[in-house]
Amino acid sequence: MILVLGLSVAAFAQNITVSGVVLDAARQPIIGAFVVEQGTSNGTSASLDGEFSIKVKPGAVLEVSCIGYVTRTVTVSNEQRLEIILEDDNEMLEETVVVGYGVQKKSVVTASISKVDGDALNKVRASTVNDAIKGKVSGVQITQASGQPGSGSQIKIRGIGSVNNSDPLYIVDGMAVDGGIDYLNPNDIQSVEILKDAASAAIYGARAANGVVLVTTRNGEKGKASLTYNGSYGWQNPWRKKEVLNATEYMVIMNEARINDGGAPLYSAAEIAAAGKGTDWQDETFNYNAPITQHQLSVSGGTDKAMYFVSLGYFKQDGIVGGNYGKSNYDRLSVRSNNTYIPFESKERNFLNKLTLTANIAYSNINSTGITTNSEFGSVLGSAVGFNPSIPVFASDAEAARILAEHPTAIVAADGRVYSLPPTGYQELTNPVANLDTPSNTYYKTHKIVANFAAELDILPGLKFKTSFGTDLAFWRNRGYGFEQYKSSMNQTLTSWVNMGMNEGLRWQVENYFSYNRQFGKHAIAAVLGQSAMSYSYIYVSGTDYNLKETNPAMAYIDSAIGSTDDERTSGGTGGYDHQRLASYFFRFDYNFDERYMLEFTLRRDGSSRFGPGHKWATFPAVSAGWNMTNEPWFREGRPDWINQLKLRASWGRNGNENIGNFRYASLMDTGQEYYFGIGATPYGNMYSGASPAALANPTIRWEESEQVDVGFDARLFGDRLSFGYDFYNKRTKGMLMDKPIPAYVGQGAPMSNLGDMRNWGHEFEISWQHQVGDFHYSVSANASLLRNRLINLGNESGEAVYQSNGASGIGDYVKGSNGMVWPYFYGMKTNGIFQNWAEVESYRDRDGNLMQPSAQPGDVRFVDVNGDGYVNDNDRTMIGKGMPDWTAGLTMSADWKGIDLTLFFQGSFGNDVFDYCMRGDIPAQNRPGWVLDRWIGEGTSNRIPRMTNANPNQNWRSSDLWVKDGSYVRLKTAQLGYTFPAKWMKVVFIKNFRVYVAGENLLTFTKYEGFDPEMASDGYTTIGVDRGIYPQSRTITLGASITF
Amino acid sequence: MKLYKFIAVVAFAGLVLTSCGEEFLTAHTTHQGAAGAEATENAILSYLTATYQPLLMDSYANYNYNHILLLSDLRSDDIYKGGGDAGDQSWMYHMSLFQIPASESPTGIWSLYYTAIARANNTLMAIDNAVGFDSDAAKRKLAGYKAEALFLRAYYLHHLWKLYGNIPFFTEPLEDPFMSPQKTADQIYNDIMADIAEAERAAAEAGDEFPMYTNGTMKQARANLAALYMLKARVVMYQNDQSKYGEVASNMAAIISSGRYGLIAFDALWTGADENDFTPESIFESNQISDGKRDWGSAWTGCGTNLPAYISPNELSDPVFCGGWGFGPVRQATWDMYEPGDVRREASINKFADGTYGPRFQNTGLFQKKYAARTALRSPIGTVDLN
Repeated sequence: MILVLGLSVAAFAQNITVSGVVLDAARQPIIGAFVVEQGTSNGTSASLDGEFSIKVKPGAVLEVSCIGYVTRTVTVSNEQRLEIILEDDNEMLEETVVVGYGVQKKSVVTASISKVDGDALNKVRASTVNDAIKGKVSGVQITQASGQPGSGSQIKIRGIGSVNNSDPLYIVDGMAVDGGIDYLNPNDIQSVEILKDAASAAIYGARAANGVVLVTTRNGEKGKASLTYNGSYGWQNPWRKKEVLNATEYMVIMNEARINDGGAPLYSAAEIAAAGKGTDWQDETFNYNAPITQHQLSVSGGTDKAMYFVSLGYFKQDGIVGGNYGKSNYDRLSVRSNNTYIPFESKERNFLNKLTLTANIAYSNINSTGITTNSEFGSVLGSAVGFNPSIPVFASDAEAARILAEHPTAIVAADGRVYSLPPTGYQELTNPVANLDTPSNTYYKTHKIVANFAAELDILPGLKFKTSFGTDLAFWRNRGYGFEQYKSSMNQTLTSWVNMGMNEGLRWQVENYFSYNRQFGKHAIAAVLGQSAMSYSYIYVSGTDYNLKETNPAMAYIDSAIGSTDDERTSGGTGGYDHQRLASYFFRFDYNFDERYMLEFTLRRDGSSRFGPGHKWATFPAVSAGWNMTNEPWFREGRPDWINQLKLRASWGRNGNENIGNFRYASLMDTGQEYYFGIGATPYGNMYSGASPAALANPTIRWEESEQVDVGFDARLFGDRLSFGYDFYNKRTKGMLMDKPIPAYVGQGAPMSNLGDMRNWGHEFEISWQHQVGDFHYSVSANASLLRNRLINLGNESGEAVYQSNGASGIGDYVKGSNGMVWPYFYGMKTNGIFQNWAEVESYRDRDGNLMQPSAQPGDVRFVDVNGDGYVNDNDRTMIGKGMPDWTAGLTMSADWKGIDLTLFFQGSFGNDVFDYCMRGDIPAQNRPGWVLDRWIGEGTSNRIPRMTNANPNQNWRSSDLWVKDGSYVRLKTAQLGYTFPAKWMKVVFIKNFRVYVAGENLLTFTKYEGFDPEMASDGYTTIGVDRGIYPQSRTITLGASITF
Repeated sequence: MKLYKFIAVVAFAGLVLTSCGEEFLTAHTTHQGAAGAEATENAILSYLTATYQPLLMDSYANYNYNHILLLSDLRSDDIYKGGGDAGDQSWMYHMSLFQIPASESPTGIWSLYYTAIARANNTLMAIDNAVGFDSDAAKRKLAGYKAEALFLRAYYLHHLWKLYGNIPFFTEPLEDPFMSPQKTADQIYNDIMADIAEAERAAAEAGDEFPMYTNGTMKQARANLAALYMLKARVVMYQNDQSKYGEVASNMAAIISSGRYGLIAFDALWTGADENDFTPESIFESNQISDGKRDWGSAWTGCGTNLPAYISPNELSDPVFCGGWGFGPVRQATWDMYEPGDVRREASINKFADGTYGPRFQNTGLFQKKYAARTALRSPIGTVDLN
């Protein structure tokens, strides 16, 4: 309804004051609605109770608008009180989804994209974005390497795509970033879209085989400025201690093992009686009530010419192991300024009529320290569960004097007490508390600056051109030192050392593209055509020196070290290449007819510096289609009222993975192969540097290719209260890069070739329900994914490879991959109970009539002849479990009533096994887990845990299903109870919103697994599910508040 | 229409101006050169140096504990395996009992020595393509390098031949699918002798550049004529090739009559101290140095050795010797073979009293003294046990 303004205005017309109230359909005031005299800049906005007052000429037209409502115009002729009711704009409330290079309405999306809103992300108060996404999206599995502050998470979208790098591509505001998105402040994020299928990711071509994570940061909005502060403080504690033997039990077990081996007991009866509980090493090691705190301050606002979002965030976390010794800590400061400017927007012409400029700059400063996690060779927790409980944390005075006399550099606590030393035979295990209190540490610091600048010009109606330039500049460095110290004979530093390293990585990206949107009657088309170029380069320098002048950590720099120049080490370089580059062209075409039939086609052509000459360019196509059944006229007529939307969709596409290293196509020489000849400055001669051909080259090397088919449907029912989505996908990766199997006698490294094939397929379900009854509003949303993975062809001759093996502890190989099996899997013998008596040992014979297990005696494990060849030996090893789960699920329930809100989030994983690698066979004196008390001590006492023995002639503890435990779990990951103070009280102190909350993380866990944590234990694909004393997640209680002015 | 043409031109121009060519996508290496064909003296010397390097690596050969000295002795009656228990390096245990299955065969030494042979091949090919060796003196130098490379190739090959017998051997790089036929042990013997013969010819041409004696000179630690003769003797005697015995005997006479070599005190040979390296008694030694560079994750760097730590008693407290991992304890029968006071026994076997060390599997109280870990020689930096 456009009324034409009278052009002749009487010079003597008097302004009149018009006042009124703006309400919505439910007669609630609309705060902040704009009331503008049409055609002028004379306007105001409605106050907290919807009231407004404006001076206008008589006959003026007032335009009343607000986001989410249909704009209304009212002609004013005289002073009057207006009551303006705005209708909900359902069309504008329609959700949009960010796709590569553009935005699409959710109702017409034909690909499989999952979205997490910024608000949902921030309910969790996680330190990193990855943690916040956990469990919210189907088909995405996020595992953390450990519970250590700052430890990264690994995202796997739809399974493990490749035996090489399966990380997805991270795009933040259109720019690919390196090193993941841990540097981002979750508060800065508006939405995260995860492009799961080939069609949605295809626009990113050669890097998209493992899916794409698109992050959009917040921008200001037109309206009054708002300032938000939120802060929280929490206490972290380990959610469980692992059950291990106490001192008395330990002595009994140790004696038993020696007696069983025909030796004499180690501890006398008097010692056992006096032992008591001994030292609880886990108690001594954990840092209880470790603090975790964060503060965020952000300001956003704007006019229709300029919008801004500025934020400042600080996050600090101490680890529950070592945080109190400064060994496991993390803090991050992030600063961001996102700005959008519209220098001109002309309503008079419809070509070259609008220019939008965006400038986003973010800086993060991260400091961290860390301890070794998940290692059987001396990690702190590994030592804590393996350490002798009958030894006290500190040595007695007499013992202390002896220790210091023999080892003057033994570790001494701040109060002067000397830590006790490990007994003989403990190999790499040391006193865990001493290990935390050592005079050595490494500090890591990162500065990361990500900036992007873009300009978007509206050329013609529907046709836009956008050009953007982005950079990701990162400086990361480390400084470590170690003073002379003695922890055990295998773990001592004889000469103090200091090392420093500085690294710089720069990525820049230039993109230009056209986008076109047009509606011709019922036909709507959208197209994108563009170009992109990216370059990454890296340089580093590092040095090590010895003999620090003083034992002062603040002075531990290379300049303070006086070691001889022979021992100094410096190295520096660029990683062997000057830059790594990608050049691309892309095209996407969308068509929909009446929002009933949708079709999308994408094509991307990438050239990469990593591919050999002659193979530098690759083309990646994708196509997807959808059908909105509910928009069909025949459906509309007969449609049952409760189906609002039902859309079927399917897609197919091909993506690439170009993470193959930089020079595999060229023959290179390896250098640095030194030998000393002659006589010279030193008695042993002068150093000569040798060179020899490096790995064989493969000039035809190309990217890994992944082809994926996706079929699914989305439905919205019951007035949009229930929404449901389902996807089935089948992904096939071809040409996985593997070292070509060549015999070892070739004498050179194998060439890398595209040889392997992997298949991942599964089902994904997403469902959500929301409802309002009076003042009570609640919603439930859940997602579940079933994932199946199979290695089709490893690409080498035998079709097998062993990934994890440990000869020293007697386990042997325990993680393996082979053709036709899930990748990777746990590998070992199958067991069939314990021999209860000699008759059973004697009757277990092989095909030659000899004893199947000649070294066995009653109490030893009976192994199964899996391959049926009549013998029990290494050929009977088989798959005994896998670390990847079958089902992963998440459930979020939230409710609010009169300002009180409650949210519960559960996460579960089913079908995953854990390889509970908790004992080392080569350390007889280590402490054992509590379940060892169920060992065999006589006929009929146990059919699972064998007798205690150190000589172990039957090799009871080689890799077998005795090590594999069920790691399925359901965990209450987040519970949050909050209260928002009523708006009318807050208005008095100019506060728009004030909420306080108490939250808990990891409050409840239901699992059969008895180790530290079933939830993670992975820092690479081949160690998924292997628990070597991992750093567990913490149970955290947080108090927080958020205020908006 | 004109407007649309304008758009099309702008679009095309935009894409063309911002598009990228082939040069944009070509990356250049910064510190690794490409393998080439022609070789200058510097290149040949660096290839030759790389061929010596595997002499230092056998103790942690490609991440396996395949010390050549220990491997050679394990199946004798002199020592036991030792270590933590039967399962600690179980392949060594099986080897000492002659029960080793194919799946447990030591792969480290196989990879190491074949890599060494590949490097020797590379060196010899470079020598054949050498440039810049025009004067007579230069030609003699080239012949010297050739003799060294041939000696080294024969040396590595002879170890593989003694350990495995019927093995592949080739002198040119292989092509896809990188296979080579397995030769019989006798054929390998002939190949080794051919290499040695060619080395002798090159040595004759080289004259002073491939001398009989190198200790204390600028060529210390490099292969020399005496080493070549000794290798020949060892190989001929292992093969029992009686036809060559006369030739070998005269080679031995040549070494003695050169007058440069002599005997030193027996126990001094094994102490590892700098003054006892490259003595007049030493014909060829691997030049191990505790430089601290080797680490668990980087087996192919560093000049140190793991053998001393491997064979020393666990957690020993002794003024001179230090502790290690307790492998390779000496059998009582070996100790009893000697008469008391025999200097060979005193220098070869250490007897430690109970209580000064932590007993491990198959403990006898007797430990190898040659190459035992001595506190004074330990690397102060880096991963002590590997260097």
